Amino acid sequence: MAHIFTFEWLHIRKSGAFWGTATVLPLLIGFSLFLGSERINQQKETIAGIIAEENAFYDNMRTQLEAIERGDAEVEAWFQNPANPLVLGQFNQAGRHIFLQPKPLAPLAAGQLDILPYYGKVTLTGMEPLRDNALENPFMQVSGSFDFAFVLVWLVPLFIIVIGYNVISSEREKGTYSLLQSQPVSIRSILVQKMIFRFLLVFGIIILSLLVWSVLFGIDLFNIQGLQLIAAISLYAAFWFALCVLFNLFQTTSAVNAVGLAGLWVFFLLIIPSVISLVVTSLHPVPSRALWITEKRTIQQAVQAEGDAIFDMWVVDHPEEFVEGDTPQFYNTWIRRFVWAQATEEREREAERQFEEPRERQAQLASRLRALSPPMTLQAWLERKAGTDTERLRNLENEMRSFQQEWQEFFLPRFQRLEFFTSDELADIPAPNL
Amino acid sequence: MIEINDLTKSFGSTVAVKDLKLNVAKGEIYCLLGANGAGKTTTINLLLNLVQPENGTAKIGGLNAADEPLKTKEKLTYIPENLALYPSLSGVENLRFFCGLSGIKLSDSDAVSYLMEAGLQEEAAHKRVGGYSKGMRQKVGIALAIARSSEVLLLDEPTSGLDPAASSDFATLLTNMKERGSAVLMATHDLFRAKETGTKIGIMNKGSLVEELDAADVTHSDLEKIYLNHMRA
Repeated sequence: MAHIFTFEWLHIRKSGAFWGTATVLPLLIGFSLFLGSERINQQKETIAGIIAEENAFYDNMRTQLEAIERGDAEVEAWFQNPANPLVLGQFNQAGRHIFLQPKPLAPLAAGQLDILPYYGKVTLTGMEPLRDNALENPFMQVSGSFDFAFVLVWLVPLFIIVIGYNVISSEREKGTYSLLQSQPVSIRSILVQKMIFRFLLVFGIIILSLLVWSVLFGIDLFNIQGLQLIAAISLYAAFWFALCVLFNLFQTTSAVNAVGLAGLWVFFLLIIPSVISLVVTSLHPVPSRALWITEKRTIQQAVQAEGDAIFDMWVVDHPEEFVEGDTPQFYNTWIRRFVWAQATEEREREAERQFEEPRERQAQLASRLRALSPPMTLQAWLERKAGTDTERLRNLENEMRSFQQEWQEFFLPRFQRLEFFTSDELADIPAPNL
Repeated sequence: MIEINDLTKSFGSTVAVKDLKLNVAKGEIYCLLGANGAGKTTTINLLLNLVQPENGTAKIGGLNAADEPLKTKEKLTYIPENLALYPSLSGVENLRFFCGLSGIKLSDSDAVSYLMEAGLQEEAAHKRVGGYSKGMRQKVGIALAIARSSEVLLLDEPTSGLDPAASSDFATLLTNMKERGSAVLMATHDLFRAKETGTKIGIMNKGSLVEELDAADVTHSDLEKIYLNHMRA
């Protein structure tokens, strides 16, 4: 094998295809990792900035409350009172942000971050998923989601095809095939050895570029996930080289091989995903987004129309959670708003099922069908490892919902009983587990 | 060294080789004459196991090519009509590569000396084969046979397209190989070269060996007459 490797190197080092690959591929990998690391740095800065802002707000509330308790300051209006549960849980900057922290491999795949938010704000009346990545990160506006996953899944196969499409067919075209056939080594063995060498060359270029650029951009790949990534890259490159071997085994010309392999590239990367999309949307159609927005408006209007009845019913059901008599105006206003918000959310969640269930079935079917295309499987795997997959990002909503419940359980009973906070109690305000 | 017995091969309804019997001993140059399509190249391809016979055997050094193709290839060097080498590599690199496939590791200086023995100049040996003439490429083929100490040399019209001087040089190299004890089977259209270089001459027509002569026993003009008689028959 060493003999073939030595002479394959003598050959390939004089080939433009090799030097093109050895130059362009590292640059593409470097550019994608640069964009990825910029995106994640921006994300980390956003998270750190928001956390600092939140902490500053609650620190300020505590300071003000301590001053009031000492008699050094006075409360001029209810909405300025830092002891008021409404001020601490709902107004102004009150509330907590829930974040999906970037995973170590996050710079490698933007995944669904273009579409789905990675953080959102929880207050007493609701959740606000925030999706302003493109505004926060100007690089995304320039480049879209040009990431390492794109380079690996979409572009690397093209480089492999360029390097491997004519390993044996060119021997036939140059006329060296007949001399090779007369040697005491089988052509298949020569082909496989040549392909292994070219595989190692391309694989080496990818891994070396990946590691060097990662170190430069501060992406940690020297861990188990980095090893898994290298293993996945080797399998993916081997898949495309195996296709090149297959084509070279047939007595076809280099032109036929090139067109055939390009056709497979189109098939695996464009046709299969389109067919999967067609199949899942046909089998499990999801009602349109416009319909969902209309449905939400209808629910909100219904709750508004039934407002008094809903509140009266709640009072009857929860007498212990309602202070009767001479209560402040803000209490009477906001107790109703909370009841209506809860009613709206319950109805919306019920209605959402008809949209979510087919979407879930779509996702499950698509996930199974994705196995038909190794590139799609790798893309999904990379997004999972990077933590930018649909499932994780959609799970943000569940985490927000769960935290909102905790937030409401902490503040609402105090508000409903009109119990104000002391400065010592502010330390108990719930914070999400980041 | 080369033993062909009752060898038959057809391509569809066309019989390419029919009941061929032929032997080439050590130190013998057997020239196979015949028109295009007479079955000369198919005979060589059967010896190389590039096609499988329907009947009969083609043996090299006692080994049946169809049963043990790789072992038989260890014993032979094949030079096709248009010997193509890797154009981006030098003569030395080409020789080292093809020798390496037989498990023979050559140093650069070894390769140069084999190439010079085959008639190539040292300066040319280090140049890219892309700039070689056909005669120079054939010399690399002969150097390969020398370096591998091939017992058998299979040549498919090696002198076609060579100028007379290059053809004569090539004939000298074949004679040298014969003297080293190699058995040479050369398919050719060149009656003159067959008579001058060969020890035995076989004439093939429509897949059959129709005449076998000792080159020493026949004159150039007789050979031409015999050949033409068979072709016109």
